[in-house]
Formats: sequence, structure tokens, C-alpha cells
Amino acid sequence: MAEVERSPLLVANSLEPPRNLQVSQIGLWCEIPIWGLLLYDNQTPWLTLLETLHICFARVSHKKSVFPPETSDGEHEWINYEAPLALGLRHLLFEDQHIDEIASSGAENGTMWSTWIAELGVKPPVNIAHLRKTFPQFQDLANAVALLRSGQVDGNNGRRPTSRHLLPLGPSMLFADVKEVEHTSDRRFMRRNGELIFLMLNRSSLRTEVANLIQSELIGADSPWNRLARKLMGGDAYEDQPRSLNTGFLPLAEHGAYERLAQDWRAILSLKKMPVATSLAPLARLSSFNLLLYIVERAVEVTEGLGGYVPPYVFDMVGNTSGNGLRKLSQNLLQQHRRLMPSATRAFVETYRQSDEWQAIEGSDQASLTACNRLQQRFLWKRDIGTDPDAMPSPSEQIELLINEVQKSHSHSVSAMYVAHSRQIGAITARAGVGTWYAPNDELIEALVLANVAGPIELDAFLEKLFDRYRIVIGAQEAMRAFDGELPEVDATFRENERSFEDRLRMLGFLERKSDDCAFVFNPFHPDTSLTDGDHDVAA
Amino acid sequence: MSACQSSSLVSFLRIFGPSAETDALSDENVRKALAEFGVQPIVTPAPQLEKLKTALCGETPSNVILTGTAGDGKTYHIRQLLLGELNMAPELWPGDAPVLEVSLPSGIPLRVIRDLSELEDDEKDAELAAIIACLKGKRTDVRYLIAANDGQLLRYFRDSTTVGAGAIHAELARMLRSEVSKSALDLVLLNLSRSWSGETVDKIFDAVIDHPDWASSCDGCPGTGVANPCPIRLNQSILRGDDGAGLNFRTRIKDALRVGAANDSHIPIRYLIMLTVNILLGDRQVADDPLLDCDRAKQRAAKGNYELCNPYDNALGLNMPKRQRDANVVFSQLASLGLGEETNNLLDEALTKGEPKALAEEIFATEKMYGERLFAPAHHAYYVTADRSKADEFRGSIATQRRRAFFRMSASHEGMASPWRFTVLHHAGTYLDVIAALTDADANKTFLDQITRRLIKGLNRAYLGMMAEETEKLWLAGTIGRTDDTVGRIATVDAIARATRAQSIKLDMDRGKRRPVLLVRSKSLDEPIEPLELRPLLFEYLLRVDEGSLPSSFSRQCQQEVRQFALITNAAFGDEGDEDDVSSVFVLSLSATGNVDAKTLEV
Repeated sequence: MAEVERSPLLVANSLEPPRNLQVSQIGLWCEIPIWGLLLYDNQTPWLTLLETLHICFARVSHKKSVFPPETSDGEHEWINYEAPLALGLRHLLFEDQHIDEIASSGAENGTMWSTWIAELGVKPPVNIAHLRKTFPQFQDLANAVALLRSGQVDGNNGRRPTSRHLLPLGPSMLFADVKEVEHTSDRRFMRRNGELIFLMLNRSSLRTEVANLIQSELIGADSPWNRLARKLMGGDAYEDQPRSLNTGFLPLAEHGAYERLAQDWRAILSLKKMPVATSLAPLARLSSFNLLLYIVERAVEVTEGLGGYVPPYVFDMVGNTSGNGLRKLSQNLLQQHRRLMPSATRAFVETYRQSDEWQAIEGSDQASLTACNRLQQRFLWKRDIGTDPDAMPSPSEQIELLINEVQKSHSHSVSAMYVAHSRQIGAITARAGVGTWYAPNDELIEALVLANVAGPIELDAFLEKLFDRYRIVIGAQEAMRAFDGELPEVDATFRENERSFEDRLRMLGFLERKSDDCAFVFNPFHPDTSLTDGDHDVAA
Repeated sequence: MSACQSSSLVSFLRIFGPSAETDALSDENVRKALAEFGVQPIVTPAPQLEKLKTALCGETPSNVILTGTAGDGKTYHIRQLLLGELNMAPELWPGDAPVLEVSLPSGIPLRVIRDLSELEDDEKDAELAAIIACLKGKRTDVRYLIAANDGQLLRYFRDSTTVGAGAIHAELARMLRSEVSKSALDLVLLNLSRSWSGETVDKIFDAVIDHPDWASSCDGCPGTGVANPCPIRLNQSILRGDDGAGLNFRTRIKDALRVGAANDSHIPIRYLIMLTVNILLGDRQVADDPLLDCDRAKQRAAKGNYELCNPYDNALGLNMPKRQRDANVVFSQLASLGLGEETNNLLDEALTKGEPKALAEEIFATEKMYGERLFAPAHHAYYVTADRSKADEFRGSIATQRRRAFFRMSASHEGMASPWRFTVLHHAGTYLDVIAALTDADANKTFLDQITRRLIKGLNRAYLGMMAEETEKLWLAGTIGRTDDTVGRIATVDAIARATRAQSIKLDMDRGKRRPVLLVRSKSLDEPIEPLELRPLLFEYLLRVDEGSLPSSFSRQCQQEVRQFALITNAAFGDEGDEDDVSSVFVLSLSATGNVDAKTLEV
């Protein structure tokens, strides 16, 4: 009987992956159909944001709109993009060792230039003529380089010079992430996290607004730093491009997580009173935070179906390592979240095991062989079961092995990415001998305020909003809602937690307590905070 | 001694002291006590009464919402208005109905909700639609006067699903946060906890210290001699300022409260009375009952145990157990000043060695009971006999003397000899001078300019992270964009000048007239820039940085406030709409003399 070649298995309601997407290289197809291609642990939150913006900038530079026009037939996007190599600028910023020393030597201008040119060697990586013309004084060149260097992001990683990046404030400040020698994109550090963010934003209902904001605040903003970078680079930097990349696979056409992500992008990019260079850090944090929520929500959907219980995020604010407080509860929930991922992949295979397609194989001739082939097609799982028909494992044995395989912790799994990003955005705290739990740092709290507070809002309304949007539990009210009326800890513990949260907010400059009964959380960078016309006091 | 006799006034005053009952102290309880003890009531001011009358008793009355915390006198204000101006018959007050209706002079009916929390849910809902219509100006045939705590008020509108409630809620939240009383709504919002008045504090002190019944209720008491006077009368005379050291004690308390008000820590009238009563009657012997009565006062006098009723310690509530003190708004506010612990060498030497002589005399010459008399034994034990075992006692004793000195020294001392050096806010004296200068009609401009220069220097140092000496220009220095490091050398906007034709940086009072702000103005901008609110702690921070402290070693909150100000001001200037392509950024560095050198970089 001629066997129909099956394609890799998809979850319910999933889009078909783009036709041109090469999936044959993938070793095990169980995480990707649930969450997408790809959530990668070695790509930091900053690099995730950068990747997303690379796509946006690339599209506009090719005279296209930030997001592609909607397709009527719900076909998966297939987007081509690239970023400039800008090798000369990169050399100046990330590789050159001599500029600073020479500039502070106090020598005469001409001498400084010749010393530096000598250091550059026979094949200088920069366009010397252009630089001499643009910066007649060597000191100015040194200042410009020092200035731009201070705009480096994510610098604490000691990465290769071709994986260092600046704040993406304009097209001249973008760099493709490439190998050191051949300058080809190897996706070693930029491995599709940002593409997923891009696809999510594209599929949200706020895509137009977000696109306009990206255009006005970043792409078309004419930042002085961008102008400076362009001056340093000269025109020929755009001639060398690495090969272009393509976006990956995001299974669901719609999801609440996409909307939440887009709302946060819109909120942060709309803060007119904050320079966009400062708002990119919270944007990166929240983008990753939204990915974490997406991971957990998808896992619950696959395991329990829609409407399943999503364990909340209990944020411990007191932050001590003693047994009191919410640390243990928070630790517990983190573990629950992490267990959700292997549960989901397991459920993915289990569902298939119950399917008609598999049941049909169990009783057929050559069941073992058919099973092996089918599992290979559906799950991209290659196993050698030998050629001896008597020694071959049965279909149920095979699928049992597969179920074990998908639950093992692999390196670079979604679970690894979850922990890596949680740590990098400051959502979790780890202490030797104590454990890891959700205890947010100041920067994450700040990001949450910036994205969720417009005009002044009462503290308990803010806590409610954090729960409604992100399932974050800090105080007793939300704990009641999250745990269905059964508080896992004493009421007083949650109240203490809420007070600590209030202290943190006040210390960050986001809270004013007006009386015992009333405290306001406010966002000083939101336009609503100013006084409006019509405000005045009654004359005494 | 003749048979013990208790002063009825003292018994009456005790009910105002710190105890569990005081929290439940209401208008009604006070009236019962007045009847029981047969004394005259304490006449407390109703500071917002005039505004209330103006709002309601004119030709076109507005709606009024009275808000404030418990003990601010909301009910008192309403009663004064109704029984006074509106001539309501006394027997109708308070009435059984949740909503009272009376007639205003203009003929329009006024619906009075004495306390929003007393209404049942259905009663609240019944009124809500009408209230919304009135506030929006859609109905003018009736007016509302509502008294409610701020949190309660907001929840009333927030929890409602009636159309229009959401918009009212947002507007009220904005008004409460910005502390304005009028807006686009047809409303006068009087916040009793946001009005500072030095006169109110004085009136309350006078009402207690100079209560008409002192003489008559102490009449017949054998009293006590000069050597061991009645501690109550002694404390009274100290607070009144009889002893020749003038009114420093009172003034200093008022100053401390003023500084607290600038820091948004408001003391309701009930607690001001409690403070006064505690100063007079405070006694630290019995934890459950920290106030003197006449019996105990006589015992103290007989045994000479005056250290138990030290008025300077009573002002900080040290006669109460710590937990109770911390939960009490006025004592916890005063405790936050760190009195008794803060000091410097100059002041301590005046206390212990008597040098400089003039200062030591000022502190110890008058009011010997709680000063010299109390301090001498511990001082002698420690310094003369050098008894090591008395070290703890000495520590406690000198802390007491520091507190007393704070309350007794003249405000004219400057620098290290300022009494405020006994607190964590070393520059509070200057802060109060700034407030005085700003509220005076003819402000001392030279003084204000001087302070502005110091603030600018503090800000420059905080932004640059370098010991700059620049006082005439403000550099909004920072990094290109990262949020973690607040210190930087780059400015995208040219320095803002302190006093030129086009720009200015000036001290001004904020809208609520409660604290100074630093106002930046520039002719090139259409919209005004948010001023920097100078709460006492931030003022302290900037002046300390100006004097040489490292910016990052003080307060995280202050750093954040200062950083936010830089970002927002930068954003305001950044929008200046330059049509020219050429623009520059500034790279800042420090010269040998401490001047800020700005290198322009064309971009």
C-alpha cells in the first residue's frame, strides 16, 4: 500500500509552517509545534529586541511597510530581512585598541593620525580618507568613538566583536550578528526569539498603531547618535551585506499573548516624555516577560485545553531568604511553571497516541516499521530499529520511548530559555543553598509601571491590573482570586508583601501615599500626568 | 497635704491623649465628656470653613466634597456650617436620614451626606446618578455636600457601573493627586488633610495651654513649692514659653510639623490635640496608661521623679511603648527626624564640656529642671568619677539633652550650630527659610538666588558624577540611553541658564503652596516644564551634594527623582523642533578649577 508522506505534526488550530522553511535539520519536533521556531536560551532579551527591530528597519529600508499586509487566506508569513555588516564602524567601536591612547597622548594632530594609521596595518578595515575628511581633528574622532561606545547594549557578555551591538536608534546603528572570520550569519546569538516577537506583533490587532510608533520613534526619528554613526561609517558601509535571513514559524494565528505584547509595546513607545533610548531597556524586558507568559499559557493549553488553570506569578517583595514570607510559595510556583513544559510536550505526543492514525498502525502489518517511519515523519525523530523483524520494538514501545525522550531536559530547550530569560530580566532571584524564586528587581518593576500606568491610579487598582494582565500576585486581594479563595499563606503575609511593594514603588519614584486609605501609583513619563487647563485653587 | 483633689480639666484633657479610645474619639464622645466634667470645650479651628461658605452660600453655589482622614474635622466643618451659616435647628442635627436636605441662601436645596461610609449600598446607588449629573454640570437644581475619606470617595465611583462614574473617578483621582480644588467639574474639592496652616497649630496649642478652666480647676490644690513644682503646671509653663527662653519649644514643634507637611505627612487636628496633651501630661512609668493624672503628678513632685514626665521627650511620644508610638502618625513623623541620635562635635561639646560658652549658656541657663538638674548626675558619673558602668545611663541622658537642646536653641544659629543638626535634616532650617522667603510678599531675592545656585551645583554634581563647581548653568548630563547608570558625561541639550532673558531656573512654591519647587523656564518652549518638587529629603540631598557628599551615597529615592527630572526636562527641550540639519551634542569634562568644559560634537 502506498504510504502517504506525512508532514510534521501540528497542534489544533495551528497554521501550516511556511513552505520554504527547512525543518529537516530539526532533531525533535515537539517543542516547535507548540511554541514556535524558535525560543532560544543563548539569545538574551536585548538581542531578542534587536532582532525584532532588524526586521522592521530592513523592511522600511526596502520601501515596505513595517509589518506585511495581511493575507486573506491566513497563510503563514515568510519575511526576508538583513542588517548591515558595517565592518568599518564595528572595528572602530569594538575592536580598535589604539584610538583612546593616541588621543590622550597630547601629540600634534598630524602625528596622532599617522600613528593611528600605522597601527591599522596594511589592509585597514576602515575608510581612512573618509575619516580624515570628516574629522580633521583626531581628538574629535576619538570623542565620537567614545560617545558611541557608551551606547553599547548587553555588554557584559564578553562576546565576539561581531556580536556586539549598539542601541538601535537608527539604521546606521544596526549590525548584523555574524561570524568573526567569514562574516556570515550563523544564528549563534540571534536565533529567532526576535522573529517570534515580530510575528506576534504582526498578528495582533494593534499592528498598525505599533508600526506607526516604531516608525515615528525609531526608524524615522533622526537621532543625533544615528547621524554620528553615519558620519563615522561613510557611505560604502552598505555595500557589503550578509545573506538575508528568513523568519520562522509561529503556530497560532491569534493568541491573547500577542495582544498583551502589542499593548505593552504601544504603551512604552508612546511615552513621549521619556527619550526612546531610555525606553528600549524596559521594552526588552517586557518583551521577554511576555514570552515567558506565552510559554506557560501555551503549555497549559496543550496539556489541559483552553480554560486550564494557569499557575499565577507570586512576586515575593520582601526578598529575604528566611522561611517567612512568600518565598517558598513563589519557589513552588516557579517549579510548577517549569514542570509545565515537559508536561506539554508529553501531552503533545499522548494526544497523537490516542489518535486514529496511530491506532490504525498498532494493528497493521509491518507495524514496527510503519511506526518507525511515521514517528520519523510526524516528530522528526530518527531512530535506528535495525532490520531484524523479530528484534524490532513494537509501536507502543517506540512511542513510549518517544514520550520519555520529549520529557528529558535537553540543552537549549524551551525550559532552558525560560530560566535564562527570567534571570536576565530580573524576574527571578537565585540564592545558593536557598533556591530560585520570583523576586523581581527594580528594573522589572519600573518596566511594569511604565507599561501599565497612564494617569494616576490607586495602588489596589494597579495590583488588580497586574493580575488581570499578567497573573501577577502581590497582595491578598489578588491571591484570593488566583487561588480561588483558598489562600496558601496567611493573609498577613500577603499584606506585608504588598507593603514592601509599596515601599519599592515609592523608592523608585512611582508612588505617593496621600493618606492611610489612598496611595497613588503614577507614571511621570506619561503625558496625562501634567496638570491640565482648568486646574487652580480656590482663593483663600 | 490636704485630701487629694483632681482637676476636672486634667481629667477632661486625658481623653484626648494617646490611647486606644482616642482612635474611636468622635464628636459625640467629646460632647459626653464635656457634660461629665463640666468644662468648656476646646475650641478648635475649622480652617476650611470660609472656603466652604464661599462655595455654597453665594449666588451660584458649587457642589462640595470634603475629604480628609479620620480626625480632620469633616463632621465638625459640616456642623459648623449647618448650625451656623445655614441656621439649621440644633435638634435636627445629625438627623436619622442618611442624607440631610437643607436650603441654601440662594434657595437651591443642598443634599448633605455627612459620611459616605455610613450609607448602605442601595442608598449610595440611589444618589449616584444625581451626583454624577451635578458634578458634570448637567443639573443645577440641587447641590451636594459630601464628606468622605479620599480612598472611600474614589472607590465609590470606581466600583460603580453607572454611566459617567468612570470619568468622574479619573478626574477626582487626578485632582487628589495633584492636590487642586477646582477643575473642569462643577465642584470644589476641599481636602482637609492637605491644608497646612501654622495658625491652626497655634490655635490648638493656645486652646489647650490657655484653656479658660485651668485656674478654676486647679483652685484649692495646695500645689507644690518651687523646688518640686507640679509637673503638669511646669510643662504647661515651658510650652507656653514662660521661662525666658521664649517660644522656641512651640516654634520648633511647628517647624517640625511644617517640614512634615512639605513631605506629605499630614497631621489631623485630633492628633495635634493629642500631641499637646501628651506634652503636658506624658508620663513614662506605666506602659498602658502613659498620662499623668493629679494623683500621679503629686507623687512625681514629692519624689522628684521629673525624668518620667520630660515634656521634650513627651513631644516625641517616648512615654509610650514603641509599637504604639510607631502606629501613631504624629509621633512616628517626629521620630523620623532622628532626634537624640544625630549630633556633631560642636553641639556635643556644648552639652558636655560647656564650650563654646555662649551656646552652652543658651542651652542650660534657663529651665533648669529638665536641663541641668536632670543631666548633672549622669554627667558627673561619667566625666568626673569616670564610672564605666554608667556609660549606658549617660548615653540615654545625653540623648535626652540633645532632644531638649533641639527644642530650646534659637533658629538664628547657622552651619554646625544650627539646632537642625540634631536631626537627619541638617538643612531644614534653610528649607524653612526658603518657604518663608517664598511666601512673603517681598521675597528676599538674594537669599533665594543663593540657594538656587547651591541647588544647581548639587544637581550638576549628581548628574555628572564629578565635583563640578558650576552654579549658573544646569547640565542635563547623562548617558546615551541605558537606565542602570545614572551618571554620564553627555548632553544632547545645551546647558540651561539660571538667569538670562531667554531662560531661568527659579525657586517657587508648588500649586498647593506646601513645598518649594525648582522651576525651569525657557522662551523657546511652548509648554511649561514639570518643576522639580523639593521635598525636604530631596532638598537635603542636593545641599549635601553641594557641600561635598557623594551623590550615590545618600538616597536611592532622591537619585530616582533627580533622574526623572533630567529625563523629562530633556524630552521637553528635545522637542524644540529644529528645522536645521546641523545639530550638536556636548561631551562634558571637568577642568582643574572645577568648571564644566563642554566640547561640541557636530552630528
